[in-house]
Amino acid sequence: MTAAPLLDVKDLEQRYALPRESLFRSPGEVRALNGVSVQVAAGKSLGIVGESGSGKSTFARVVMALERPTAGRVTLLGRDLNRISPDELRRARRDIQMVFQDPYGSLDPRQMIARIVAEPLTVLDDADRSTFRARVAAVLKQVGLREADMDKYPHEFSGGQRQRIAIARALITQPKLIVADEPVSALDVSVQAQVLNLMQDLQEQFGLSYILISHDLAVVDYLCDEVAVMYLGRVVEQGRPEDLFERCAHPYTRALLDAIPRARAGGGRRRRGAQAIASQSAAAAGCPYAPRCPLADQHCREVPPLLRRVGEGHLAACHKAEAVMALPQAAMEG
Amino acid sequence: MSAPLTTSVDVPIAPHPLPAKTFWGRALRHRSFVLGGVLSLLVVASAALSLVWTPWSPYEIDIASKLRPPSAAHWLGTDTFGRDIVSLLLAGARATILVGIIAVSIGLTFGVCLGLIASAKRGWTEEIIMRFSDFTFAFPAVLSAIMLAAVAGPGMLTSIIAIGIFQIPTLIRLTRGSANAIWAREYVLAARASGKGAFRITIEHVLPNILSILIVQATIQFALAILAEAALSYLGLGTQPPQPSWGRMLNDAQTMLFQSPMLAVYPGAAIAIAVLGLNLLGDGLRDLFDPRLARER
Amino acid sequence: MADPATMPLIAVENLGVRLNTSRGPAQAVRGVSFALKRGETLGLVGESGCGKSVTALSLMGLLPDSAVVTGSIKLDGRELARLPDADYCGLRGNRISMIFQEPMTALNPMHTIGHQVAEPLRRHKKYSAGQARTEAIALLDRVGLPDPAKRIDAYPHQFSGGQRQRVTIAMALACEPDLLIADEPTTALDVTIQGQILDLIADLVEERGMSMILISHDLGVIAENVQRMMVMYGGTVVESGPTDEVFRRMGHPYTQGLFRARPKLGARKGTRLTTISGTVPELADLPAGCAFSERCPLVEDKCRAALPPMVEVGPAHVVRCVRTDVSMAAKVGALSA
Repeated sequence: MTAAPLLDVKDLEQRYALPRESLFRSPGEVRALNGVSVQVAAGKSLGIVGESGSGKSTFARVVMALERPTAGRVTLLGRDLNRISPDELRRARRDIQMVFQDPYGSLDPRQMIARIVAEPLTVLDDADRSTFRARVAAVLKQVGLREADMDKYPHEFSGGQRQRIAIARALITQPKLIVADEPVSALDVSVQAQVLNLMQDLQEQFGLSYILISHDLAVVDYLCDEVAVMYLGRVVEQGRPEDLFERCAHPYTRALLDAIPRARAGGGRRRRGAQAIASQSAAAAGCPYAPRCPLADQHCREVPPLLRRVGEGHLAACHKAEAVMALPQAAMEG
Repeated sequence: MSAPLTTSVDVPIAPHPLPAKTFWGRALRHRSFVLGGVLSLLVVASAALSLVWTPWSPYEIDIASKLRPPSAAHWLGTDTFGRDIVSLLLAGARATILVGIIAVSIGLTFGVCLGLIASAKRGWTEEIIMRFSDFTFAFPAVLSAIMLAAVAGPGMLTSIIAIGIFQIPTLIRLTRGSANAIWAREYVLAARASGKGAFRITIEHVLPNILSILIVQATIQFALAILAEAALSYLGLGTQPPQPSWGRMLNDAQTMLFQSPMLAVYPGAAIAIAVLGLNLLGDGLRDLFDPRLARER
Repeated sequence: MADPATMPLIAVENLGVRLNTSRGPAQAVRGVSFALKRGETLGLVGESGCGKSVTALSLMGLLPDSAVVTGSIKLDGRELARLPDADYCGLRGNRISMIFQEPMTALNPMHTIGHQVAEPLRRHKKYSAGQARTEAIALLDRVGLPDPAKRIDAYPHQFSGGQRQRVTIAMALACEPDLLIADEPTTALDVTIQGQILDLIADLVEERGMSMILISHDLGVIAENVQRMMVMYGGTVVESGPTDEVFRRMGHPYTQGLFRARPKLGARKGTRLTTISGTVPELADLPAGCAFSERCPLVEDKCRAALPPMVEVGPAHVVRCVRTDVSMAAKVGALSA
């Protein structure tokens, strides 16, 4: 990576205490993040892929400084978000905004669009109402809505339009980084494409960076320059999307790729091997993926693999990365 | 996979309070809202009327014409002291409403504030507020009224404070519960992500979104306060003679229950009408604030 | 009566459903017809509000009381449309079963899973408590729930999402229904779990000779799991045919748009997704004529005049469009790789 990244996440750990089961036993804990380090360069986008329980949403909340991590650092433009004063943090939020998954839940039903979209600004400046309204009008136009829409309530809009409103709210402070947690997964397919195109346009126009969190590999492939695959709170593979999806080096990435149903004729059913269920609390010694991995051997179950370089800008945490890369790859859709 | 957040029937349902322009239109077609509104208005109108006019003075004792049956002069007759029943009922509504409004205001002010604080702060603050609420809840209104009366003497003020305190825990619980649900919404997360503190989020997002629930509960608490006031006056701990109140009327009627049972029926009916009216009003408001429920009727 | 081997298990003729929505009455389903033989599988694809779930619920007799159902639904020749609810109760869970999207809401959190799987057995087959329990363990074992004999007395919240969906499948299969309706059965699940659940459903359908209607918004799920498919939009079927046939040559501009709008893995950077303009219409204010006309790139005046008829474009492959000459020339579709 180049000298000064926009966002530098180092050894992030987040543990949650489980509710105490017995008065005399110490409560268990869940390791939601287990030493995650990633960087985002200005104007570039990072995709985070994983299934439920992989820690990807916790990652988003910690990066947004909505939660304080158990250990590790989140540095945005040289400022450690967990060390600066609350006042500085409030001002730092100008550069980092968020878009949520549920376009129905992320807009307050009792507020008008103008007020919703201006919300991040009201925290920062004490400008007067007319300046706010001018800014809101401008940003609504940028996301493809009309100025007149600002005096309406959220329920007057469809899901796709609501997600545009949520993006407008994130854009209004002219941030450098937008963290988007599953921004299109609640939308209909035909509307999904519109929102993804919009996100791409905005990136080109403003030189934005995204951290795009998604379970959908194709969505991440479409928008991101780099992808990190997470499994049980760890990054298991990281690299450019073309490397990851054409020469994947971790068996979990491969399982994800194989699991995507292909929309094409003669698809038929492809058999998938039975897989064990992942468990976050099991403190196994070796590779966390070993119980589900078809290639796992004794070595894997004993020694946890470290994230290591397997190609140009391509990292994987697997003892058998080379063997996985040598396997015939899953067919892509043309 | 991607999840269109639909219910099992994928018909678009507006998950939102309806715009104000249709609110009254729907309200006037809602049977229990209209009936509850009419009954509640009747009580309020009686109290208001008694301020300017009653057929007879509710304080005037006329032993000579005691226990008269209904007549043209005394529409519902007179009581043991010869006071006109209609006048007493009208003036009694005043005490009822006064006690209700002030007691519910006390309950709302403390209950809602503490509930909102508990929900916003969590942790130890929440724990302390909720234990305080449990503690208060364990004391029946009558008991706190007796204790207060022992200290400050019986009277309307004593009953108002006792009833007010009695309302607080219910409102703390309700406020905290509904506020917690709002705190879990994504728009609150969005507000936190833009740097808003707990106080601003409470005022700007949480309170407006639980207001309708609180309004509905306030009408029901009002009904409970009326019952409690009647009970305390009946026990002699509330409104003191000669101040007329429905509870006192019941108390007075008790000694004559076998000679003139109607003396107990009139104030009893008045209490029932007020409580029923407020409960219907509360039910109606709940439906009107929740468009999904309203459509099913 | 015709020979049961050739007679369709379920025959739906010109089904229409009128619902009361928040925006007033709406024709949620219009003129839907299909027939399904024993052992056949049918997919319904479409976006929210297209009528796919309403169609399924009308087969189950689970529409709200205010809904008006027209047309005919025949199960083994017996008319089900407008059947009283009391009669439907004998069919639901017995001859027709349904799996829902959200397993947690389909299970009662207050009862053990054993109780819930055994309930249809006791109700429809009049099994004794002991018999039902044995059978429930066998069923849970069949759907791949680990250690069923021990976990039969556990409550729904003690299971993961995928395991819960296995339990609802066991419930649906308890009485060996003839028809299984799966409404977005994997939408709430992770991709790797989705594959396992779809495999399980497919195995069970094959093993027991059931018919299945699979509802999904995901073209990929449909492509891999059913023999025939219907694409729905605005309450009507816009395209229908054998799955391979439809994916090889898509005829309706909406099917094509849906196919093109999906982000595809391995597409070159900087390519833009082809979008369908506009938004999914609300059922209460559908345009006259073709429901897709407002968003269609090929729209002509006659599209808005009246609902287009079904046009045959291939073997058993029909499209509700007057402009198939142009749309089919675009050759949208994916040949098997």
